[in-house]
Amino acid sequence: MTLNARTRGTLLVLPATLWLLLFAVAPLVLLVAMSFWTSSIFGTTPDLTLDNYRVIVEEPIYLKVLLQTLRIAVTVTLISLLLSYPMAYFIATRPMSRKNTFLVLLFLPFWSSYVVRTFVWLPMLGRNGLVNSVLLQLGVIDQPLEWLLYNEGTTHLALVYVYTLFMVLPIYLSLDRIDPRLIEAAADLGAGPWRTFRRVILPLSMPGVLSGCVMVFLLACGAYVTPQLVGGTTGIMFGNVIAPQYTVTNNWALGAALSVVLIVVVFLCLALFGRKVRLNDVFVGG
Amino acid sequence: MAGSTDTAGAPADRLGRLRATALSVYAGLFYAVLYLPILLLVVLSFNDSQSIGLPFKGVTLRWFEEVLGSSAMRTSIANSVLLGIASSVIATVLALMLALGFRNDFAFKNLLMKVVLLPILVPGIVGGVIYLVFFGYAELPFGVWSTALPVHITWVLPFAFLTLFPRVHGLDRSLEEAAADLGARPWVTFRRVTFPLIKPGVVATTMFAFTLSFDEFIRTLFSIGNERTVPVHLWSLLSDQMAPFLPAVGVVIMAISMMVSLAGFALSARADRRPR
Amino acid sequence: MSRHPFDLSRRAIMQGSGALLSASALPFGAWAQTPEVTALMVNAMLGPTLKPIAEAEAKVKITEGAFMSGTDTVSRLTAPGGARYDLMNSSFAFSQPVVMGAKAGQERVQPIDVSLIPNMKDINAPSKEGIGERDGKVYMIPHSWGFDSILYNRAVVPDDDPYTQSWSLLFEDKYAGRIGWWDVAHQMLMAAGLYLGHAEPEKMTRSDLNEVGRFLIAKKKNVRTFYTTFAQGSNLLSSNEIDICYGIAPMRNDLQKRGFNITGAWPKEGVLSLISASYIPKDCKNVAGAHAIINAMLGEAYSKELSNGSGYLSASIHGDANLSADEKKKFGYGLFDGSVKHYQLKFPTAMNMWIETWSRVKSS
Repeated sequence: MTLNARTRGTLLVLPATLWLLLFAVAPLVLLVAMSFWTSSIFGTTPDLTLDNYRVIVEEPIYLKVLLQTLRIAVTVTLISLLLSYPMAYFIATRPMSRKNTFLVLLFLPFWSSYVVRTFVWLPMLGRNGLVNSVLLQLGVIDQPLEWLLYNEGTTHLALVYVYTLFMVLPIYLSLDRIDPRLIEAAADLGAGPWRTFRRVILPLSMPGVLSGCVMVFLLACGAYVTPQLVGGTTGIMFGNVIAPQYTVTNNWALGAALSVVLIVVVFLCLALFGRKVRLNDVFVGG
Repeated sequence: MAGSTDTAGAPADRLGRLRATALSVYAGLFYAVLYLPILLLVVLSFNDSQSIGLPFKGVTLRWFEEVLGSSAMRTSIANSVLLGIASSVIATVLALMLALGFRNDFAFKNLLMKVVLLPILVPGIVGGVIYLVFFGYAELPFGVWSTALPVHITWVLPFAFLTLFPRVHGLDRSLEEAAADLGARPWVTFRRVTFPLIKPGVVATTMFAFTLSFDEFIRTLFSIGNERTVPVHLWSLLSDQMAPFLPAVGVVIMAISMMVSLAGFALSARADRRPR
Repeated sequence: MSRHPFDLSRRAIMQGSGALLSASALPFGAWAQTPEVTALMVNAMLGPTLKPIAEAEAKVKITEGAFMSGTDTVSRLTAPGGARYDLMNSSFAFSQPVVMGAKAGQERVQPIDVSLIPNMKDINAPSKEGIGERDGKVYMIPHSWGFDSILYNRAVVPDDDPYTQSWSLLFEDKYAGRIGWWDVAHQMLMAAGLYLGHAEPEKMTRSDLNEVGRFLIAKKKNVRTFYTTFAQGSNLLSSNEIDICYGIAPMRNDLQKRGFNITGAWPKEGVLSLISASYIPKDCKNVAGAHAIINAMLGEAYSKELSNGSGYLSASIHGDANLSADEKKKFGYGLFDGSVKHYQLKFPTAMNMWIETWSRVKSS
C-alpha cells in the first residue's frame, strides 16, 4: 500500500465531489441568491430584497400547504415501509438463482413512464374504471363508487405505488448483505425466529430501511404531477405552489424563496429524524 | 441471506413453513397489485377506443402503429435509452468511488454526506428551472449531451450512492486486508476481491440508475431545449391533443427498457459463468 | 468468479449504444438537407394537417419545442442565455408587455421585416389589434384567435338547458360531481369574475378577488377534479369521468373529430378570447425561415385549414372562406361580427395575488 487510508479516501471521493460542487452546489447557490432577487413579468433582476420571504410569512396559505405536504409525505413513507419490508425480505431470502428474476419483476413496472404510471390509476379507479366494472359485474355494488378517485387517499395510494421501488430496493440491498451465518448463530443460541428478526435482522437492515425512508420522504415532498393527476380538488402539495411561479406568473424569485423554504424544512425534518435514529450512522457508518 | 429461514425442530419447522407460505402469499399479492395497473395498461393499449379507459371496444393495433410509425417517437426513444445508459454508468462509477472512499476518514466527511443528498432535496420543478438559469448563464447550448446528460448524472448520483453505500459499508474488510497482506496492489485487490463481492449491488444500482434516468421528466424538460426524451415527448403529446395511444407508449417504452436491462442481466450472468 | 466480470457487458453496451446512436442520428441526417426552424407554440397550430402545409409553403422544416404555457413561452425571452428558439407564438395581450418592453429600445425580440410577409395584407379587421407595432417597426404579427368556454357532454346536459347560457354551468349545483375545473389561476378567476358581474375582471381589487375566491371555495364541492393539460381534460370528458369542464377551442375540436358528443357553451357573460401572435427572438438562427413560416401560417391554404385542423379562428380573411354558416357558428366566427360576446383576456398586474387566491381555493 502506497497511500495512507486518508489520502485514498480523499482521492476516491474527489471526482464525485467536484461533480457535485459544479452541478449541485453551484446551481443551489444561484437558487438561494435568486430568492433575494426581484422578479417582475419583465424577468428577474439581481436587485436585493427580502420581499419574497415577507410574502411567504404573511400569506397563511404557504404554511398550510407546507404542513399538509409534510403530513402526506410522512404517511406515504410509513405505508410504503410497511408494505415494502416484507417484500424486500421475500426477495432477499430467495435462492441466488431466482433473486434476479424477482428483482426484474419488481423493476419492470417502473419502466413505463412515471406519467403513465400515475395516469393509469384513472382507468383503474374511475367511474367506469376496472375496479368499478368488476364490482358492478359481480353485483357487489349497483352504482359506481365515486370515492375511489380524486381525494387525498388516492394521492397516498398513487405516491406509494409510484415510489415503492425506492423503498424495496435499499431494504433488499441491506438485507441481502447480511451474513446468513449470523442468523444461524442466533438460531443455534436458541433465539426464536421473531427474536432473531428483532435482534439481528432488523438492526442489520436498518441502513436500508432508513435510506428507503429518506428517499421516499424526499420524493413525496417534491411531488407535483401525482397530486395533480389523481388528487382531485382536496390535496395540493408544495410542489403545486412552487410550479406556477415558473410556469404561470414568471415570478422566479418568489419560486426560489419558496423552494429554499421547502429545502430548509426538509433538511430540518431530516436533522430531527436524524437525531432520533442517528441518521449519520446510517450513512457515515456506525 | 439466502435460505436462512429453516430451523430445526418439528413444531418450529411447521411454524416456519407457515411463515414462509404467508410470506410467499404476501409477495404474490404485492406483485399482483404492482402488475394489475400494468396489465390494464397493456389491455388498453389494444383497445379500439378514442378514450383511454374501459369499456373494451375491440382489438386494434393502430395505436402501436401510430407510436412506432412516428419518427419523433423513435428519436426520443433512442435519446432516452442512450442517455439512460450513459448517465447510469457514469453515475454508478462516481457513486462507487464515493462509497469506497467513505470507508476511510477524510476532511469534511459529514459535510460531503449532506452535499451528496442535495440533488434529491431540490424539488423537481426547481431542479428544472435552476438548470435552465444555470446553463443559461453558462451559455451552454441545450441538448441531450450538452445539458441533459450532466443533469441526469447529478440526479441519479445520490440514489446510486445510497443504494451502493450499505453494500460497500457492510463488506468484510478482512478479505481485502488479507489480499493486501499477500502483496496485492490496491487496484488488484479491488478488481479481484472487492468488486466481485459487491458486483450484484453494482448491477442492481446501474439498473436502478438507468430506470431513474429513463423516467426523469421535469428537470429534463427545462434543460433539453428542442430535443426530446420519451417523457418530454409524452408531455408535448399530452399538452393539448388527446392521446388515445398513451397506453401503447407506456407498453413500448416498458418493452424497450426491459430488453436493455435483460440484456445487461444476461451478459453479466454469462460473464459470471465464464471459467476462472 | 471471472477475471474481468464487467468487461463483456461493458463491450456489449458500447456496441449497443453505437448501434442506437447511429439509429438516432439517421433522422437528423435526413433533416440536415432542408433548412430548419425551431418553434415554440401551441401544438395544435402545427397539428397533423397544418404542419405539412406550413412546411411546404415556407420550404422549411419545423422542429417544435415542448409547449408548456403562454407565460412559459414569454418567460423564455427573459431567461439568461437567450430564448433559444427561432420563432415563438403566444397570446398578444398577455405577452406584448414583455415582448415589446415598456418603451422603445426595450424590445426583447427583433423587428419583423414586413416585406417578407406579403400575406399580412390578408389580416382581417378584428385581428389588426394583434399587430405589435412601435415607431414604424412591427414586432408581433397576429396568427389566430382562440377562446375559452365551457365544454359539456350533450348526453348529460341538454342544449336547451338554460345553464348552458352562462358560466353558471361551470359553477352551480345542478351538475354537482360532474364538473372539471382547469387548474390555472387567472383563467378560472376571470371566468368566475365575469360570472359574478365583473365586466373587466383583470381590474379586480384584492377584495373583489377575495369575494371570487370565497365563491369558488363554496362551489368547489361540485367539482370532481381539476385538470392541468388540455389532453387530460379531454380524456376526462371522453371517459365520462366528468361531463362539464372549462375548455379551449382545440379541445372541443379534437373531441368532436374523434366522435364524442361534446360541444361548447356560449355564455352570455362572454367567452374568454385571445389573439395569438408570432414573434422572432433576437437570437433566432434562421431569420429568413422564421419569416417564411409566419407568412405561410397566414397563407390562404393554411388559413383555410386552420379552423378544421385546430379549432382556432384564422386571423386571415381566407380563414372562413370555405366554411358553411353552421361551421362558422360552431368555430365561433361570431366573435368577429359581434354576434358572440367575448372578453379578451388581459394580464392582471398583480398576478401573484391571483395565484394566492387560487391556491387558497385549491387548498381549502
